[in-house]
Parts: sequence; C-alpha cells; structure tokens
Amino acid sequence: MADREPLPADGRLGDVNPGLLPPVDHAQHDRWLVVRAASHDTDLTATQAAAARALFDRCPECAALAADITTIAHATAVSVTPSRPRDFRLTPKQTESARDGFLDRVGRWLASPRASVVRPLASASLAIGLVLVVVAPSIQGPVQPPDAPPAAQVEAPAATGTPDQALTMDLQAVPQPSAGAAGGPEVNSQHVPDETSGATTYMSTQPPSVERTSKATPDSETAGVQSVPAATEPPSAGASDSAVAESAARSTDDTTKAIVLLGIVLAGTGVLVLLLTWLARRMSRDPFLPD
Amino acid sequence: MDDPARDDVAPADDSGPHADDGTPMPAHDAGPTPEVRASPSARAHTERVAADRARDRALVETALGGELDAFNRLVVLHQDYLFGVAVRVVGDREAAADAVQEAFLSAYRNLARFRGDSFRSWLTRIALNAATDVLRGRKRRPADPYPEWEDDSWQPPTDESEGPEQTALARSRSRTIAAALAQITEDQRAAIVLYDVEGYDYHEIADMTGVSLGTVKSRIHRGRLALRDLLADQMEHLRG
Repeated sequence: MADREPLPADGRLGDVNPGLLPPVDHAQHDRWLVVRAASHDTDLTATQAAAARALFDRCPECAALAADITTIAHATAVSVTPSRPRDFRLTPKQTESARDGFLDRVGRWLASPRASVVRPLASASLAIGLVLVVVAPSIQGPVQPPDAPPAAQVEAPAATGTPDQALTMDLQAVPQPSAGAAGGPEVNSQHVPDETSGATTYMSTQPPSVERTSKATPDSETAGVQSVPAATEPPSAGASDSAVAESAARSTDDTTKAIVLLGIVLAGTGVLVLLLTWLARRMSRDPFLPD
Repeated sequence: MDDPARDDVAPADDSGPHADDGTPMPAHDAGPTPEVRASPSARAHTERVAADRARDRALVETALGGELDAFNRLVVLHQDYLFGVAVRVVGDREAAADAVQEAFLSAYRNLARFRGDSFRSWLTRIALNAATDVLRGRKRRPADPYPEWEDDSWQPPTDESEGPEQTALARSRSRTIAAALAQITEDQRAAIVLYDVEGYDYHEIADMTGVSLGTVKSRIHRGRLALRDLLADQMEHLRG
C-alpha cells in the first residue's frame, strides 16, 4: 500500500500485537490470506484481518500483491465485451424444429414442475393398492348367529356317525375351491378310513341326495339301516342355516376378490405412472438445463 | 428491435447487459452489489431489479401462451449480457454465439420449467452449461483464444471524453485480461466473470454453478491469484 504508515524510526512496533507480526521473509507469508483480504472476503475472522493488515503494512511484496489483485479485479470488470456476431432471436423455423410431438409434449409435461402433483398421487395409489391386496384376504364375512353352527360341523356328525367327533373339521377354515366353482349343492365331508394304511382321509363332494351312507366305520355296513335313514332325511333347519352361511361365505369371497382386484389396479396404475414419470424425466432432460 | 447483429459494444464503464431497444438495465438483476447496497441509490436499484424481474416473468407467461414475439423480446433484452458471459468463458466469438443460440433454444423448449425468481439467472445457468458443453466438445483449451483480436468486434465503446489513445489503451487492456482469463481453469474463469464482470454475489454464483459458497470464493480467489501470476509483468500496463 502506498499510503501505509512507515515503520517507527526506533523500530518499535507500537501497539501492534507482537503475535500478529509476520515473518521477515516474504516467502513465508500467507499469500492466500493476502488475496482474501484484498478481495474483501467477509469470512475473514478479526484475527485473520489483523494479520492481513500487518502483512500489508510490514511487507512491500504483500502490499504489492494486494494492489495487483485489486487492479486485476477492476480491469476485469471494465474489460470490453466483444460484440455479438449475430442476433439470437428465434425464427418460427427454429421454434418449429424445437417443437415436440404429442408424446414428447406429454413426457415433457410429466417431467415439468407443473406435473409435480402426479408423483405423490401415483405413490399414494401404489400404497393404497398394496394395502388393499394385503388386507383384503383377512376380511371376514358377516357374523353368523351364535346358534348357527358352521355348515361342515352340521354335516359331519350325520355323515360320520362315529364317536371320533373330535376329528370334525371346521371347513370354514379349510379352502374349498370346488364348492363355489362347481356350483354343487353342498360339500360333504366324509370321514373315510383308509383300509390299507389305516389313516383317516377326507373325501368330498357327493350330493346329499345321492348318497349319505356313512363309510366311516367297518361296521357301518351292517349298521347302515340306522345311518341311511338319517342321511336321507329331508333338509332340516340346520341345513337351511348352512345354505345361508354358504351364501354369506360366497358373498364374502366375492367381496374379497373385488377388493384385491381394486388393489391390484390401484397399485399397477401407481407403478405405471411412476415409471412413466421417471422415464419422462430422464428422456426430457435437457443437457443445458440446470437440475 | 429489428436490428441485425450489432457492431457496437457495451460501454466500458458498464459492462453489464443492455437491451437493444435502449432500455437501461442493471449490471445484473440479481440484487445490488455491496457497493450499490452501501450507496444512497440502493433502494432505487432494488426497485429497478424487481421491476425487471416482473417484466421478465410477464414476458415468460406471454411466451408460454405461444407468443414467439414475447420470447424474442426476452432474447433482445438478454442476448448481449448472455453473449458477454459466454464469450468470456468460451474465449471464441463464434463458439460463444453457438452456445448462446443453444441456450436460447433450450430456454424456449423448457420455458414451462422456469420456476425461479430471476429469468436472467436461469438463463445464465443454461448458457454456462452450453458454454461448458462447447469447451468439452473441443476437449482442449483454445490454443488461440480470441483469434479476431484485430477486428472491430473488440473496439471499445466510443466515449467522447476519451481520445483515440485512451480507446486503444482500453482495447489493449481488455485483450490482455482476456488472454489471461483464457489460461485459468474454466471453473475459475466462470466464477470471476460472474463476480467481477456481471456483479453477482457469492450466493448467486453458488446457486448458478451448483457448488458451495466456499467453493465459489475459493475459485474466485484462486483465479485472481492465478491471473496475478500470469499478469505479473503487465501490471503497470493494466494500471495505466
């Protein structure tokens, strides 16, 4: 700096903090600090600013560096801008070539901030759809009256006529795909002992009017007189309740299927829209456009 | 408005943008520089910046409605400024012109995506990306930047108070600075042009270039230090 104060004649540094005194050798001075101070960097701490001032005041080379930085900044600011070689206004032909087709426009719209609401909606659709798909199978049908036993439990004792009613199965808990699909009247669970293995198996689906003869026990051949009449009895009140329960179960099944289908549609739509949005953003990305 | 490519240049005492229709424009529309902020005219400057931005947004809205004239009005308002930035970054008038043309086309295509406050800043970012693309295309720094040194495009503005000697001196200084700028890194060059020439502040440059505030400061300081090393033996010439 040309107007900096000269050193005192006695060489004493007055009230300058001795800790801020720069080394005598300019090569050891912090040029970076000088440049920052000369550029009026507001991030300099008070200590750094004081150290920079000390450098300017005590070191001619540092002062010259600061002056040069200032000169360069000013010369850059006032440097001449060359004239542009042409006019940059767009012609209709240029805009025509820049115009996109329908799909491009849709993609560009999907990628634009104006369509920013699409992605959250698609995400919500996906989430709701997944929830429906997961939750729907666990939805139960209408609650049956407490005095109405499950259909299978009604049939099983009459069919088996055996004392091992502990093996009676609650068929509501067992999938019976053929019941609704085949449209058969009812499903009878017949408790059949496997002659060869001795294991107990369940056979199904014989219309009640065809045969309700129990094959459950070996002695039922002889005792069939007792069991056949029981099987061929006209439908009782219990059977009517069973039909109602079956109908309710079928209705529940249909509802569940509808909900699952709705969930699949929602989730699929969400995934599709998200995928399209992602693709649109990728394909419409302009290399010059800031992110 | 319908003028062909101009042969005049921006005034040396105001290297900022100038509208072709003579509309006075600030050095940049991004806010007052520290000097301006400290001056009594800071309020007027702020109001002018706000008015410019409002005008640009209105033109953008009209252009979005399909009015090419509205977009071309924006081009007219900003083309000199944008070319000034690009030519300093690229270092070649024709390449810079190509970059600016690409930038305007890109802006036109993506006008619906403009959501910022300052159209000029948005345009600057696009132009910087286009200029960077030009530089990448070359895969090298221009061996002979500003090859048209001697043509009239580098004529400094005519100032009646200055004689031919001053004019020649200003032209020579500009060439010296431009040659040195072409030798520093592209990032440092862009930061220095935006800060020293166009008057943007650190935050705005950080926003435009997508780097941190500290990186912007570092680029500017290091760029100046590099320029000083390059121009060490020409400082007297620059001081005049």
